[in-house]
Amino acid sequence: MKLQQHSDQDLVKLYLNGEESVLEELLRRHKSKIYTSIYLLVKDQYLAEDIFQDAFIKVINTLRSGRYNEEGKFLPWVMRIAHNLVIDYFRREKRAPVITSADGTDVLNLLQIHEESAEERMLREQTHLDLRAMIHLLPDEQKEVLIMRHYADLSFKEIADLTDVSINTALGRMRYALSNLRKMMKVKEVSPRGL
Amino acid sequence: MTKTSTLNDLSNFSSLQPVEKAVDEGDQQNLLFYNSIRSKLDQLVKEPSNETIQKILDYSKKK
Repeated sequence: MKLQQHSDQDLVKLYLNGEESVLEELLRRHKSKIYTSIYLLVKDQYLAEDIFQDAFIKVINTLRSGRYNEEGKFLPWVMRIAHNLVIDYFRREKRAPVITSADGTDVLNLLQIHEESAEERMLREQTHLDLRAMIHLLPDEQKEVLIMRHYADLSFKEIADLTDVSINTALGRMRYALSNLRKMMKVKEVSPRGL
Repeated sequence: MTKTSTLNDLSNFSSLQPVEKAVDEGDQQNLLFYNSIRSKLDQLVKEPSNETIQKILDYSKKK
């Protein structure tokens, strides 16, 4: 059976039995979800890389020490670790997330499937920045839910557990996040289609 | 088939599973809006560097 066909839980068991290579598969499966979530919260590529690495070092240490709860799902568990590290970082820095003008154009280049003009590229880069800036303008708790739901693919139950709120609160925060994004786009006169 | 969903659909908000419940207008608008920006949200996805992945794998081997 190929590694890709195993569940996360199976892979964790294999890893605990000394199958070192399964960690690569777990990383391949979840790296984008986890890294993007961290990155959108901290808005700094290098910091996001550090937190991502620290999260997986904690994952490895916990697994190796036999403290992993097999009843939990792997991704929400790693997201919880990453989320706590992000919170720790902001506590250390004693500051709330602020808006910065990160460029992020490297990702955009990867997504292109056709040659584009300089004008098209500028427009695409600007709309990208607009959307990301709008996400960052959301109150922290709304931004968190949106990021964890969309990027980390967590259920509202998992988000509620992770952020220590009720499911209704998590749902309400998602509603407000979407509602606020809609308002921001209206103010900027940006059509979602044109983003 | 036209698919509808609701924010009350806890686990499948983004996957648009059909649901029977009536939803209020605000939720419908949010859902339509969410669907309209999903592809753009997806374009913000980033990946960690290969160097970081390798450091994690190396750490695991040493442990």
